[in-house]
Amino acid sequence: MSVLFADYALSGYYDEMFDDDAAPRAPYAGLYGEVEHLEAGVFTRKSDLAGACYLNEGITFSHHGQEHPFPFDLLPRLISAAEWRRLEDGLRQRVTALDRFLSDAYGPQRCLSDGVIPRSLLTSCKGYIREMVGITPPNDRWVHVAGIDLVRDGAGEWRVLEDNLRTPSGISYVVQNRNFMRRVFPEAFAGYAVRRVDNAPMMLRRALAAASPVDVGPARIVVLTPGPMNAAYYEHTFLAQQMGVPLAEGRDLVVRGRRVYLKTTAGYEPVDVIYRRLDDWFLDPVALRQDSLLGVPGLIGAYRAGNVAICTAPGTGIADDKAVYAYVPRLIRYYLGEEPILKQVPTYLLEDHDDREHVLANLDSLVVKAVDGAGGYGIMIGPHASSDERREFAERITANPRGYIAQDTVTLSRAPVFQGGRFAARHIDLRPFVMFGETPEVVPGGLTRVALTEGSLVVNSSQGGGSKDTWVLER
Amino acid sequence: MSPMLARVADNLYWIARAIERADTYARLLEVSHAMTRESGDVSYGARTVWEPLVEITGDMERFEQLFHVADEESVVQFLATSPDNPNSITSCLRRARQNAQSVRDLLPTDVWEALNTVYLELAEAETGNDDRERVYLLSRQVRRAVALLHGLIDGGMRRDGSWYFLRLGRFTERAEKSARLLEVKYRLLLPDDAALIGGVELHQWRSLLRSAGADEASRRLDVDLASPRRLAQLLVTDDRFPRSVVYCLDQVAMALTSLVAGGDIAEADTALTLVGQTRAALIAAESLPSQSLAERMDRVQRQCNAIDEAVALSCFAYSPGAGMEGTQRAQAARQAQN
Amino acid sequence: MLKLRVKHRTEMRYAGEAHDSINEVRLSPRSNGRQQVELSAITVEPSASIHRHHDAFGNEVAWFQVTDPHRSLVVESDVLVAVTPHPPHPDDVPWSALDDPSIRTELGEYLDQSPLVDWPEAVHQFADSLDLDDIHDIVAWVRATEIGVNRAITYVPGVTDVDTTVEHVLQVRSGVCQDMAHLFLALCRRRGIPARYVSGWLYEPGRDTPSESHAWCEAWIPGVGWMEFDPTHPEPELNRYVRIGVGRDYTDVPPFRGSYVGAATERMVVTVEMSEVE
Repeated sequence: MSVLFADYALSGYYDEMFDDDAAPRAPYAGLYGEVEHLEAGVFTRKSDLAGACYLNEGITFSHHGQEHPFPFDLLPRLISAAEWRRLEDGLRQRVTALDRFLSDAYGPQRCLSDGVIPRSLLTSCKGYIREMVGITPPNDRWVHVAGIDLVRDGAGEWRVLEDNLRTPSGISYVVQNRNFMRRVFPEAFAGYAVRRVDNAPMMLRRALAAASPVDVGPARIVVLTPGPMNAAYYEHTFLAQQMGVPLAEGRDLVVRGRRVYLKTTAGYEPVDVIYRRLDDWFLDPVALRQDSLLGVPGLIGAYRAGNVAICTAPGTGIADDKAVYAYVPRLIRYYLGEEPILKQVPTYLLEDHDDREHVLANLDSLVVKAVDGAGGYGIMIGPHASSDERREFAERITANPRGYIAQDTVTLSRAPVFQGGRFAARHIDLRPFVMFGETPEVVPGGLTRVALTEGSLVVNSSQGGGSKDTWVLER
Repeated sequence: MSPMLARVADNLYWIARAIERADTYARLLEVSHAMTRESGDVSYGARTVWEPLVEITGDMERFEQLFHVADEESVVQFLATSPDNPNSITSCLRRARQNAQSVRDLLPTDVWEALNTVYLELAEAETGNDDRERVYLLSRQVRRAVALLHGLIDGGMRRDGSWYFLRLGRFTERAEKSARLLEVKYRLLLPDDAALIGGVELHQWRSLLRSAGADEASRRLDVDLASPRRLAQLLVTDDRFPRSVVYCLDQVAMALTSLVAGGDIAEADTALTLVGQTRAALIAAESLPSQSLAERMDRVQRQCNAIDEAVALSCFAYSPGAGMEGTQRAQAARQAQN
Repeated sequence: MLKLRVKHRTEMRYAGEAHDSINEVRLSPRSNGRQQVELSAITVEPSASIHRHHDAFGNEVAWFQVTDPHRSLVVESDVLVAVTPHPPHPDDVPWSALDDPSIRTELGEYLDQSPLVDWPEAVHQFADSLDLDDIHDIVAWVRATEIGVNRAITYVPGVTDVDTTVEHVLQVRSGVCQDMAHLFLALCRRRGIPARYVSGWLYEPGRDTPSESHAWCEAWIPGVGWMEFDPTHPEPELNRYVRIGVGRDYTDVPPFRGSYVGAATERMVVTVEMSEVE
């Protein structure tokens, strides 16, 4: 191996770039050839340049109240065309089933009467919004954008780690990673035909337009943001700009006669579709949290009347609840009559007495997650946790078994990440995005997230993770 | 493309006003600083330079709450860096940056970057050394940053609603501040509207021109510095001089007309009428010397406020926080029978 | 059979102008096994169109918006309903009847904690102080709990609020029907008995003060189903109740909730007039 890879360790994990004999895997051969003769200084300079791109554009993520640039690793992550086709099919299938589940759970509830999932599991979901029961969104579409987190296990097998349906973030990074990549490391693309991701915002726009309750004329779409204090505010501005639609705060919208309007300089302008980046409970102080000043009073009334689409539909939190996750394979079989294409991670529901005992006895080898957690918060990774942490989680589980699930620890695959002048192996995952308009479409690529600390399995940006550009190859 | 969010337009308008205000204050500080250096008499400076400077900003009341004496130190602090003065240069730039952050999707990235940079530099300088050159350096820094911002805005932005709202804010602010500068200076320098001025005042006039950025223009036009009427012409009615009141009013009218034409606002009749009336009165007054310039400028200022209100009504009526809005409150009844 | 006419009037007065008022009202009873609704109307002043729907618990909700500025808002519900007496409470239902796991599956939301019903340490202590562990019949236990809550909590209007917690009620030992209902629900649920909140009206013929809306409870008794209990009035005759709606606690069935823009609320007056109709 070249100098850059001098200390690169392969042992024990599935490596994305190299096979067990330390030879580059087929899709990576060209890229390796390009990188191996680079000097460390050149790569450092390119990395710094990429970092500067992020800072200049102000692409930051707030972490404990501080603005940080989103760390970006220059060596792309490659996915072959054949592999992607299978992932794409699996993602489409999964999101379709979750969408049907939402329609059913807030509607006829056949899945409950048929015993597919217990009623108490549904009613105990934190994301179960009772105000949505009986509402049919325009076109009965519930999920418009989904970010499904995938990992590759020790055997190189893809597995779904979790579903993010409420307000998944990261699309802006997918687009910008590629932009900066082309700017600072154009030679890496030599010999590769990489599928484009720059039309992701237009795919989103298409999915949102398809959700419009109005058939006549172009759909009038807005992005609803909680405002500049939100951690993902950059993404909200980026998507509004790229889709060419207004970026509105709750106070920019008003409900009149069960219709939603935008307060513009020329008066009230009707709105058909709201792409909201605001949590469910804050959407409407009349129907949901009364103290919300971020939402739009009466919005749920307009929604119930069928006059506006809210994307993603309020209440989708039941489908990304981590206890419901355990039932997703059953939901796929139930709603679609198909076998799940993508595997999941074996999951233990802690309300079940036997499962709970098993988990409490094996905390040092399992991962425990809060069922409604996101962003890497509320997670205990058994093999890495201190005994104090394990004790704390054991107490939390005993006090509130419905609040947590446990999973087998997946040994996430690793990829080379440039740190301190050379490449080191770090764990990664992948968050592809599915836009669901008429049919589910997958953005070819996604956000490959990187755990920057050696050995760490937590890749979330809020936990100090970074990202890589993800290349889906044409052939 | 549908019309802009009222809140966003409101934001753009105030970004431009804040930037212009910072620029004006930077100029005023620099000129005043130079004046006192040149005269050498400290008490003279306090009475004739520093106090009027606070008066020009219209923030005398707030100033008196914060400081006892108007001298170089207190006034520079008040106008340049004081966080307690919402109109200080740093406060203006902070506000502009904050507003810009919530309309980032409409501003060119360069503009945001430039605004961000100057704000961060000033914030750093605040804690820096306190030597006498600071005023000049600070002023130059702010003036350059503002020039850069205008360059980026004018060179890079499409002439749509966003650009016109920025333009509207910039020239409304400039018209008001130009009028105020003239009113205060004339009231102090020329109580009787005398026809001729002597040696000491000549120095003052030069400074006035410099404050208004008109020094060089006046030389090129060979304006007789001993004739206040000719000077006033340059600063008030010269429709080719970009800091004259009339020029600014013309720009406000042009921005409003373009906004109506572009469908960004429904109408601006009241504001346009007010602008027209003010302009006509200024031109007419030039040949009617019955009224002192100070009085005229006082009226212009009041009319600027009326224009500002009319603009708010036609452009930002629906903006959250505008007059018709109020506090959102929850209400609920419970079960409470015995 | 008793036929009752109910006029429920909510009046809000504001310190100045209010506008863009959007509200949800749960003041329309629905017909069920124990009551027949013959007339039900809601009027709003300033006038507004009323949009009705049914919520997740089957309760009827009226939604309306008053956009123009107003200084007061009056919502009136006018109802004519025939009520039938409640069946007598059975006895001899053993605790073991609750062991069926399908109870948890089907009625889990009435067993779990809900926004205003939880059981911190104070509730455990209170439960212990009632000393009911020797009661072997579920219905008798629930009755004793109903009486225990009634004795422990003094009816005092104004000391508690719409979002008062059970813990606070136990601390001040006083409150209104809503608070007693929440405490009763906490005691039942922690003992594994599904229990839910009922909003409605209670007809008291001899009452001389103006009435308000009322809250009581239902406990789910194996083999019987939902049975009514009223910790504010634990006398066993339950034949003068008009049920508006049910939920996990108050937050699911508030009679009136919403939001508006403008001046503060100066006062809110709720009056309920009830009379027997031939």
